[in-house]
This record gives sequence, C-alpha cells and structure tokens, in this order.
Amino acid sequence: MNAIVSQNNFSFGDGNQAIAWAAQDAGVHYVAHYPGSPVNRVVPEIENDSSGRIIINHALNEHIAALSAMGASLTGARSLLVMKHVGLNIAADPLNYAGVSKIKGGMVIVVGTDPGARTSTGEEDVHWYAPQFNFPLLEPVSTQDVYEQVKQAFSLSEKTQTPVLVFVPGRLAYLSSDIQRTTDDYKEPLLVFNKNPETLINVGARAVRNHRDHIERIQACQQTRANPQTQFNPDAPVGIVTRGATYSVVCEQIEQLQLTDQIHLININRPYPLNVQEFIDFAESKSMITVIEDQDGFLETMIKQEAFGKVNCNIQGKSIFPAWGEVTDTQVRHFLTDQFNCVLPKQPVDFSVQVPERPGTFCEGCPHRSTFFAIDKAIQKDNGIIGGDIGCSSLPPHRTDWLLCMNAGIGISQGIAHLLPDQPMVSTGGEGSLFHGGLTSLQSAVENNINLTHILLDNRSIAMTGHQASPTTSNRVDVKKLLEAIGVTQIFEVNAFKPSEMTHVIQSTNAINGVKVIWVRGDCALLPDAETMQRRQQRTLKIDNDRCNGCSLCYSELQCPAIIQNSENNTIHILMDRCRRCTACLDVCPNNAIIINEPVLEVHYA
Amino acid sequence: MHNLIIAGVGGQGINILAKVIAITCQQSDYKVQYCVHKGGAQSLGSVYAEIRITTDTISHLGAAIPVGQLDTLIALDPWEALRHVSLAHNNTLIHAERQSSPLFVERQQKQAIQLADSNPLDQLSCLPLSVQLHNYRNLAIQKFNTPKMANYLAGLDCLRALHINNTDQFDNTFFQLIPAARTYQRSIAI
Repeated sequence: MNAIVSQNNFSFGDGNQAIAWAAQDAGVHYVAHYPGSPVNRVVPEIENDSSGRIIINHALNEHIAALSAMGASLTGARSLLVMKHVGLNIAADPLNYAGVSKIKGGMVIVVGTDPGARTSTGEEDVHWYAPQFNFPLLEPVSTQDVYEQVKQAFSLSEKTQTPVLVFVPGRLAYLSSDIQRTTDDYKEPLLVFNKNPETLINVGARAVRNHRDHIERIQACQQTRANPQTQFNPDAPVGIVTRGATYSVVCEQIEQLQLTDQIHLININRPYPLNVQEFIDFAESKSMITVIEDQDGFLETMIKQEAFGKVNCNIQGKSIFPAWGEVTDTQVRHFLTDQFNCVLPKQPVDFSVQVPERPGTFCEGCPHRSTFFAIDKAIQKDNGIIGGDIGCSSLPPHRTDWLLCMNAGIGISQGIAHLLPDQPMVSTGGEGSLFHGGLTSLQSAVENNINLTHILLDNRSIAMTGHQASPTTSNRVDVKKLLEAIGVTQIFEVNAFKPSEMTHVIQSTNAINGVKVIWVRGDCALLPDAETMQRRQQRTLKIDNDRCNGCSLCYSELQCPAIIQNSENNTIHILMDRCRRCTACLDVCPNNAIIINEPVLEVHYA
Repeated sequence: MHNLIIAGVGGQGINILAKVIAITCQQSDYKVQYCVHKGGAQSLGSVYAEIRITTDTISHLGAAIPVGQLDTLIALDPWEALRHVSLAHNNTLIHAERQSSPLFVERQQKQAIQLADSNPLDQLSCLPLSVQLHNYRNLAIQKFNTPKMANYLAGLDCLRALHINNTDQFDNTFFQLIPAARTYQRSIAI
C-alpha cells in the first residue's frame, strides 16, 4: 500500500514500513530475507520501489539469506537482512563468521522479536546472540526511531566492519505513526569483490587473529558514545533504565502518576556493546536503579557485568519484573505506586465478563482443513500421533500433537518412529518448511531407513506471513522428481479436497516400510488464482435437508466455517457468501446430502 | 488525549478502518498512533486496533492503551466488545454490533460452546457503562447491499465519539484506501 503523506510532509507508516523506507533512503542495494511475523511486511514494502535498483533475495531459509547478504556486503553494497527472532537461530551459523570477515558495505540485520509471543510459537529472547556474534545491537523506541536506527545502523556497520543488529518487537513493527524521512548524502560505491584470504580464509592462526581483531573493533565501538535519551529529573535519587518498546510504556506511567520530579530515566538505545561510562554518569547521584525491560534481563546483565565495582547504587530488574511476556503498563504502575505511594488519576473498573476465545482456525476452502479431517479419520481412533509444523497448518493449534519450530513435525517424528514403531503416526509440514530445511530432514530419514509417513501440505504459498511465493508457486520445481532423487520411493499424490481418498492412502502407508510421502495438493483459498476461487462463479452448493440425517460430520468434524447449524431445529446449512467452493464437504457427507450445481465445463484440447 | 479501540473479527476491515480513522484525525490536526493486533490467523480470529489520539506529543505513549484508560470502544461483534471492557473506566462509551460472528473453531470445545450459546448482549447490557447497540451489518446490507460496509458505518460512530464533524475527509480517505468500496460510494449520496 502506498504511503499516505500528511499535510506536514511526514509519511504515515508502521514499523515494517519504517524499516523498508530507512533501507531505501540509506541506499540499500541488496535485501535478503525469510518471511516471518512481525517483520513480514518489510520486503513487500521494498518491492513497491519502482526504481529497480534494489535486488531482493527471497531466500528459502535464513541461513541462505544471511550468507547472501554477507556476499553482497563483501562487494561494497549495503545489504539488509530481515527475519523473525526464531530465524536468527537458523542464521546463527554463518553470522558467527560475519564479524571476522570484515564486510565492506553496511550490513544491517533487522530481527522481528516477539515478547508476548503474539505471532510466534515462542518468545525466545535472542538478545544473547549480540555478544555471541559480537555485533552491535540497536533497539528503537518508536516508529520514527525504527527509521532512524536502521539508517544509522548502516553507517555503524561500515565503521565497525561488522553487521549491526536492529531488534524490532511486534508492538513497534505493527505500530503506525508519523515518520519523517530524510535523504542522506550517500555515494554509491563501485561494487567489487576483493580477494582477501587474510579475513576470508579463516583457519588456524588467522582464525585466532581475526577473532582478536573483531573483538578489538567492537571494543572500539563500545568506547564511542551511543547518546542514550535521558528524561525527567537528573537530580532524582531514583533511576530507571529502559530499552526498546518498554521506554514509552514507562514514560507514560511516570507522567500519569506525576512522578517526573522524582525519577530520572535513561533509555539505552545500544544495549550491546554498552558504553559503560554513559551509564556511570547516569548512576552517579542515584541510590537505586531499576532496569525495566522485556524478557530475560539482557540489559540488566550487561549493566551489572560492565559497571561492576564502578557504581555505588543498588541495581535491580528481574527480581521485580517477570522474565516472560511483555512488560505491561499494569506491572509498571504497580511498581511505581508501591515505590512512591501514589494513586492513579483514572481508576480502572473491575468488570467481570466471560468471553470465549477465538483462536486461529483454517479459512473456508483451506486445503489443510480437509487434510486434517482425513488424518483424524485415518489414525486418531488408534491413538495415532500427528507431528505438527509451523505455518497455516498449525491453525487451529490443537490439530497436531506438537507445535514448536520449523520442521518439528518431520524431525521429532523420526525419534518417536525409532522407538514406537507400532504406533500409527504421521508427520505434517508445508512445502515452505520442506524447502526451508525439511528436505534434508527427509533425506536423513531415508538414509536411516526410518518408517515415516510425511504429509506434505502443498498449498503453493507461504500463506501465513502474507502469501510469499514458495518454490511450488511457479511450478518450477517437480516435487515428485525431487523426492525420488533423495531416495523416497513411496510418493502418493492426493487432492486435498478428497479427504476419503486421503484417509485410505494414509491407512495403506502403515503397511509399507521406509519413508513415504503423501503429497497433498490444494491451493491456499486466498490465492487470487486458486482453483476453487476460479469456480466460485460457477459452483453453488446446498444441503438437501431431506437427505441429511443430522450426523453433523460436516459441521462438527470438518468444521467448515461456511457450514452452520440452525440453533432452533439443528438443521445444517451452507452460507454461500462464505463458501469458497472447495467441495470437501461433498466428500465428507456419508448421505450424499450436499448437492453441487455446476454446469458442465467445456474442455478444449489442443 | 483520547484512547479508542476498534474491535472485530478477521475479514471485517478493522485494520483498514483504523488507518482511515487515524488519517482522518491527523487531517484534523491531531497527533495519532495506532497498533493493529491480529495474531497469526489470516481470517476469522479476533482483530483489534488501539488508536491513541492527542494534541500533545505521542513519543511518550506506549503502543498499548493502559488499563482504565479506554475512552471509546467500537466493536463490530458483541463478543469482541466484551473482550476489551477490562480496559474501560467509568465513562467509557461502547458502540457494539448486536449480531455476533459465529465462533467457528470452538465447535469441539465445551467451554466455548457453552459461552457461545449465551447471549453476549446480556453481558453488555449489564455493564455499568454507556453501551449503544447497533445493527451495523444489517444497515450496511440495507444501505449498500453488502455487509462489508459495516466498518464504514462503525467508522462514522468513531468520528462522533471523537467530535470530528467533517465526514468528507473520512469519506475521501476511506474510498481512497479501499478501492473496492467505491462501487458503494454512490449509495451515500443517495
């Protein structure tokens, strides 16, 4: 979506757009990413750039994305690497070498973090990667700050010859406000790859020397001022330290409780490497300092480590605030009211209401809905195990037996299959996961002769993060040949919207030894070119209530949102404005009570 | 300072309405920030937008509306209105759609079915708050021949709550940002 430019020439945008605009305005040449919320819209925003100057690598995983961004920066180009927090685990291997290789062009790694796990399976705190990689880490406090810090990160990266991390949490990534864009005087470099074995052939004595050199560069960076923002009364004996999105939460509560005279606040915008002198200057007149930050207490640890023996005041943090979830206004308010014995101007009212949850579900026409119906029919009655993976197939969350990380379905199943060979089991995963790392996992199962049935959910897109393309989107990859090439001999291609056929196939694979792949084909119903959508104008469906015996399979087990039950007489109906014509319900109904009306399509053969 | 939540279910146009409201407020010389929460689901999950409107600086405002600071709650679903009342204060104004969207995924979950069978309007009407119930969906069908324009009607209530009288700016932004809605624009004139 194009930016709306307001009357005062500010652009209204969210954190994702701020990242994209900063990269564009900083002269970025190369963008590599793997899609993941909350930074899933950065690259689509950059794709709006019509200049054609920016090259985008839609990498199949974060490991590849990281290496390609390093390659771009080695030529002198500015590169942007974008991923979510858990993606940093996948990229960690190459990033451990990015610091010693002395990149030329600025390389900025934007990581979408997720305290509170709003859009992730976990809220892992990835701050600890900063000292492990030994990369500077910047943390913005607002959307404007996201824009400024991403831009600043490019020049810092070039100065330190290391990549720079910028962490953007969900509450900033999806926060929209005015962003003032500025143009820098950045001269595009001549791109050239200089062969430099001293840093790029990193073995033996060179590896140790390069490591030392990298540490010295970061130590030099540590001495440079980060110019943290300070707020309120510098003479107050009580100090509060924040980083990232907690800054504004804390500021607001201090102002609302009218404690601005009694507190001095510092926001650490560069938590690693921490400029300890800036902290010591802040701490000089304080008797107590409280670090308020999301998650593990990374900043508190850095402060205690760097300022040990150099300040006289007490420092607390995670002994007060939990190490899980986002720091909330309520937690901050309770802390402040306890410390200063004050009351809120507007008291919250205690309402007692009961509201059912609306956890994620499959959309109408989703190929995963009928697939999981088929899996349940095939193995649930025998206490079968269903391995789950990340993605749309994990909506709703209770359809599999675990929901942990990418390729957990295909991976954990192997260990269970080794030890519980008689228990029916399938692993599941999308085609995005297969190409992300699942292919290696599948080949490993082949090499180890594991009895495994993997259900490959091929919906031709990485749907959950906004329909980014997958290798099967364009049909460039012949999945069957690929699976055969890695040694899978038992491949069953099935239609996602024919669950009865799929149930039969799943049951039949139990008797076959080795690795079996059931390749379930069915487009995401939200794809503009989805086959089901193309037929929407031609197909109509309805339930013949004379034939329907009320078994309720379509309503309570297939659970299609387009199928509803009349609360007065319990009859079942299809809402045609919701129905996406996938026709899975036809296959499910044992009474042939669902009638499809579709004119015979004329087929022309060449 | 005015804190507003627009709540509903995926597919009702909450995200885009929040943007329209934010831009309309900005054009009326307010400073605005808004944050949309939709989780991982592509559709049918709870969606809400927290909009914070002020004449002062917004740099010291958290993304989330603090408990007890919600001034207006506009909900296109009565359950979704109830979901956010914990943020309300004594003078919070609630505009809520009467008709609830089905709770699809909970068909196998007993607790949810029990709750879903109860009437959210009963709970809403018991609240010691100013609650106005609307038929946004039916009105939109009646006026525009589509339920999709319910968010437009809810948006007009947002403007009233914010005392912004110039609906032209709202209309311009709404139809600029949602090209598909332009076909219904003529109905407004009528």
